[in-house]
Amino acid sequence: MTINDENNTEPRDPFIIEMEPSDELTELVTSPPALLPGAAATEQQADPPAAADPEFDAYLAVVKLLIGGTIEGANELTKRLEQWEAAQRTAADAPPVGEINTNGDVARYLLVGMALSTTDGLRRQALKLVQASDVFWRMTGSATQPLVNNRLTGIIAGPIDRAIDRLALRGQKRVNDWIELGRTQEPNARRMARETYDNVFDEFIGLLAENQELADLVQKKSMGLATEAVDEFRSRTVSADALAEKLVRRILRRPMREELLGSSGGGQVTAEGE
Amino acid sequence: MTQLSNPLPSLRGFYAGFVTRSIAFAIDLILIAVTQITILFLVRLLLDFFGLDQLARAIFEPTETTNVSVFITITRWVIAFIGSGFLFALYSISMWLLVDKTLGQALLGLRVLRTDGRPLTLGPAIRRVLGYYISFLALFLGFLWVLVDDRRQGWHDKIADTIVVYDWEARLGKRMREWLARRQAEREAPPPDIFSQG
Repeated sequence: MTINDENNTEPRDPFIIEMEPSDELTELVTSPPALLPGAAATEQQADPPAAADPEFDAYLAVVKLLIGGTIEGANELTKRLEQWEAAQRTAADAPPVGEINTNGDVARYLLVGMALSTTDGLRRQALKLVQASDVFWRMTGSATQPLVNNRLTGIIAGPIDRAIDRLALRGQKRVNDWIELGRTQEPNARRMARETYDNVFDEFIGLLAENQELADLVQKKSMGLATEAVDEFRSRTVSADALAEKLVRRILRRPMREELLGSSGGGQVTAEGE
Repeated sequence: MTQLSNPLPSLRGFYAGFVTRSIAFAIDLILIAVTQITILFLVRLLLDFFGLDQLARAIFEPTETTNVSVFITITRWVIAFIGSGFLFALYSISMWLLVDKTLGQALLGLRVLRTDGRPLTLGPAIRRVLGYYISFLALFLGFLWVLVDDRRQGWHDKIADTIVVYDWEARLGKRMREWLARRQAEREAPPPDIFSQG
């Protein structure tokens, strides 16, 4: 199997090795399912319940869900950003170019400009670096070719060379397996994330709307948290009261207040009519 | 570390301290400032609406070129000081009379009472507000008096014969409790018998 697209007419990269997926990964690699929820609905594969499936791996499912959620979320965000940018470009009331009135304005514009140009520049530099490293490895490879092919050096370097080749082959095989696994599992993960989002949130909100006890519980929990926060803040101020008083009394060489520990019970006032 | 042998009783009804009262006071001041700004904004809108925009500009946007009359100057002073003072007095007195606490004091769990435990009446409430100004004019000494007074009363409290108490199940924080317990244990421990040693 190859990672190159079948329709691709370009010469294949010599560094990519064609091979079959490894045994341990073969069972995970299945044909990619449809991405659209509609198409998914038509398939209706009638999956057995999770608990009934002996091969169900909760960890793997959660990881897949997380990956799918991340990819789907990023896609949604990108789509929205694209829409907003397009809307901004076509907007009639586009904001005018900023004015420079003070040195602060200059510094601000400088920072914004630097941030934008640095991001673009970094991207271009990264591409250049990749190209440069490719050229470097090709050149060094061709330069050392006579040495490696030499009979004398071949005796010494041959085993090492073969070992490195084997290592590279194994590494490349592993990389190819990962790529293949990613290719097949990514759509699955995305579908899972989308379905989770569509179903679970709807179910949860529906349950919340229907179940009065649950709604009360959520409300009570929120109220409880707010009360707890206020109580915590208040007790900190009570402690701060005692601390401030302690400091001042120490400076003035006055005795400490005993009532705070409740030993004497003095100082307590009860409002009338309670 | 000294362990607390028994759970600490609540400080409900105990005299409230300086920090809590200061925070409550600051919250009240912020509320009054926000209210005043809102009122001024509405006044400005009303003046503009009735075609008195020149007057509005003279009061709210004074510049060197504006012809400042005595009337305008007095109006500004009224708005800046007397207005805010009046608003503060109105707010505090009405809240004390209605619910024994202002909003800031309610948030911090405080309650203002007379020294005999009865709720405030109009006389003590007015005296308390006037007492605030006296405490303020004495370089805040009247407020700081809370730190040294046995009943945690400021000058304004002394003038109005009032106290401020915790109106919730107030308890000290863990560290402060431990410190106080340690001090109490030290005080209650018998003195070392120096004569029986060697």
